[in-house]
Amino acid sequence: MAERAGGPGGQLRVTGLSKAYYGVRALHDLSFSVEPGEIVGLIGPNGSGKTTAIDCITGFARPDAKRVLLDGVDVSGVRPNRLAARGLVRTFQQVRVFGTLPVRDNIAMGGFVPGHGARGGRRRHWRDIRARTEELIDRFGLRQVAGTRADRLSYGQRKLVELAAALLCQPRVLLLDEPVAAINPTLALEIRDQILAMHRDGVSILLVEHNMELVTGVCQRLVVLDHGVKIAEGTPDEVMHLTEVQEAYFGR
Amino acid sequence: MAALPRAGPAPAIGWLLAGTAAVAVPRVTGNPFYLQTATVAMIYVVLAVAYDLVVGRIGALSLCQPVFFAWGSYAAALLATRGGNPGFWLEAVVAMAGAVALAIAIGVPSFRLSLHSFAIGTLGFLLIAQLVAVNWISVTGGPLCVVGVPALTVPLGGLRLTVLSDTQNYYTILAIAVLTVAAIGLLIRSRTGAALTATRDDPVLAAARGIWPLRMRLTAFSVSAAFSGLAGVFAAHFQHVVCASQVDIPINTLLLVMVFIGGRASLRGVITGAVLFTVLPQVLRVADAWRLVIFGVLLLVMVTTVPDGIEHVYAGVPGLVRRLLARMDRSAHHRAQDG
Amino acid sequence: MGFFLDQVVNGAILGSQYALIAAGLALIFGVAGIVNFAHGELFMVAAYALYLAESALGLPYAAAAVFTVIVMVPVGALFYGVVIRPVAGAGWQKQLVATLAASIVIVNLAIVLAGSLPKIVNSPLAARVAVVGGVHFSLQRVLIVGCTLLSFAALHMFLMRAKWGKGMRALAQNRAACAAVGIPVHRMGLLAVVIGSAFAGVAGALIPVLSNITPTMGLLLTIKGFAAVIMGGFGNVTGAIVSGFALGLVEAMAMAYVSSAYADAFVFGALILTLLLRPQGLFGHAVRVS
Repeated sequence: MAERAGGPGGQLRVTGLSKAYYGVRALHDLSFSVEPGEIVGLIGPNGSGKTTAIDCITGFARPDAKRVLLDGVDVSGVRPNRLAARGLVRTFQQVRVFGTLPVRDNIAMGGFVPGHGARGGRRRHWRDIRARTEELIDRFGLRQVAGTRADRLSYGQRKLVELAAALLCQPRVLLLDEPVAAINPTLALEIRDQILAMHRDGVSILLVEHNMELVTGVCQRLVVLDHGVKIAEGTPDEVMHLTEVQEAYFGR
Repeated sequence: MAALPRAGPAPAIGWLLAGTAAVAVPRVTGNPFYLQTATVAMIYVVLAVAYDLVVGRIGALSLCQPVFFAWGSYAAALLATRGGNPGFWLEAVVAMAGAVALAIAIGVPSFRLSLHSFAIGTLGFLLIAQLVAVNWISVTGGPLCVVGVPALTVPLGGLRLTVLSDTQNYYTILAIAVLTVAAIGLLIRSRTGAALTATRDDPVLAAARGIWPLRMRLTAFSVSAAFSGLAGVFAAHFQHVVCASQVDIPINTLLLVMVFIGGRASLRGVITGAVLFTVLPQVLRVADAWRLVIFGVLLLVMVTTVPDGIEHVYAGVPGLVRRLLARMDRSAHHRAQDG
Repeated sequence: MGFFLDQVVNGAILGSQYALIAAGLALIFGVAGIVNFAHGELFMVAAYALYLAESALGLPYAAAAVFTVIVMVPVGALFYGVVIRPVAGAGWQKQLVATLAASIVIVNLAIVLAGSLPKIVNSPLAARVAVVGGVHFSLQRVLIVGCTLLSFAALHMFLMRAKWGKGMRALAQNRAACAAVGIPVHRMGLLAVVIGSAFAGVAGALIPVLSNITPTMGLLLTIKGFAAVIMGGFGNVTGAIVSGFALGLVEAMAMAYVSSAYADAFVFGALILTLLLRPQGLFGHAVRVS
């Protein structure tokens, strides 16, 4: 059972990620890294393979080839729930919550991340979890709906719940899949602030997004994907003006 | 104590009423037929509540429940007839531990499958178990059954109590049923219960949040198997005979009817379903095959129109009561005005 | 050597039966998205139809067999309307239970109406024997394998060439997209069930000649049919057919060389082994999770 190293800010290194579906190449030899404390954006037009990449990295899809190093340790064959235990946490493009459970339970569910039991016994562990759950409820402004079933919330509220739930898992590397897609601008700003707060706490973040404002405002580095191939990498300024990137998004 | 709060208040009045009624049965009727029917009903309460843990709580349609029930029966029968009759406690341990082992053996390959395939996979295991029960004659007696199972012996202190009369049998299975309902009820309200719900509703998300779906499913499956095995121990002593026909599809069919019409993931619904569908067939005294036709049609109609019907009825009661009270209030108000 | 070849022939017969059932199951699952637990019962109904055609209607075997296949078409349509259509959009649990309930009703109705005693049907081809390479084949067996392969050839052409056939393949790949472009999803489902029922009719018209007819003969067949479907990769018709033949062969060999009582255990053992080694089935694709 892996003992969780203290503190946020893990390092994620992905090499040679390839996956083909029914002969169509979704990803081809993708390699990139997220250094401790960085916010890296993974961008590209629709269908470029961004979500597939996250699925493969986190063990939800089996790629044809991959090598994933988390803090230098090879976790390529590790199950999703154990990856969460090691600090690699993700959110989903189509927001996922446990509909029949109240918000509070949704957030606290991360208490099941294995490996916690080692510290101080189960009762204390769950007391900690409850305390942190309440903190997160307040931090995300969910106090009013804390006892409401998740399937009765608005889409935006569910996004907040999902983010809070991910945070409860104490991620060292957080993979966010389109956290501000399909929500109103006010909420998008709030989520942006939450992401920046996480960044200040030292969490390493990989952000998959279409919203260019968020991406350029928050990411320190960008990796650009087109049809499963990395076509550019660098700071937002460097990358956004490259012809390849313009063409990928807008066509020739 | 659960860190995650309960999903809703338990209507204590209903449980109190049900419990009182259950305890009162032998006082109300001394008729052995009614008492025996009530006893069988209690066996099915245990089986159905255990079965709902799999079907309702983890959402897996298992078709091999009779395997665990029969295992318990055969284990108890063989221990009692050829193993020196060691008494209830040892039989219970063997039955429950063995059932858990079976559940893990069946569950590990089966839960890898998609949901549909899981049902078929478990059915395959049921058929294998049936083959073994029918063909391993030296142990199970095959079609000739294991006969002459004595009455249940419960070692208590220095004494060996025998459960002989119909009333004693009834109270024994009632105790087992109460234990089962309490244990499974507690499990459901606990953190593990919340994790089970999470695994059922969205196993992908559950995995992303640290839960290992396979372990959750195996846990529920094993608990379900253990209690089914325990029921089997009682059944062997109660019926004095254990046959290969106990490892057969109709028992699972009956459980499906009880759970789907009673209400999946609803303790009170499933218990009601279990009692109803044990008592009803005794009332409608028809031949076995016709009875199954009726059950099948009933199940088909209910599943397509109002699944989980009995639970809906229960859920609707508070609203109904409120409306009744409101109407009584209004009419009293009107009379006060007119008078 | 002769004994071994006999078993291969036995395997081919069993395999034809399983493949015909499995093909229907795979088609219904692929096109209508429903797991039909009562599929084996369609075979049983067909067998009784054959019996009735011979005994009550007095038809000679050939006419009775044709009658059986034809009568399974409206039977399939009725089954679709009563059992499948009402749960077409409902959750998978309800669908499974609905077909399971249908299976229970049909089996027990058969017990009540026809009695549990086995019925016998006769075919003039059963007695006629051909000798090839020292092995004796009854012509009925040749007919069984021949008609099975013909049926699959017809299905293949239908799925590849005919408009409705191509529609069904499209549906199997992506239901939502098909509904969006106006493909008549429900009518396709009906067609799939009718074809599956017709295949069960082919099996029911030919195979019971070799043994007998009982109300519960379909139950085990459903499960082995499913074993073939799962082994072949759920929804993949070719995989189901190939696996059906494979399982038939396994069973024949097990029955002859190991033990006839536990032969079925070998069949399921083969399924379990396949799934442990390759969870998506022999022909299936690894499934994407999120």
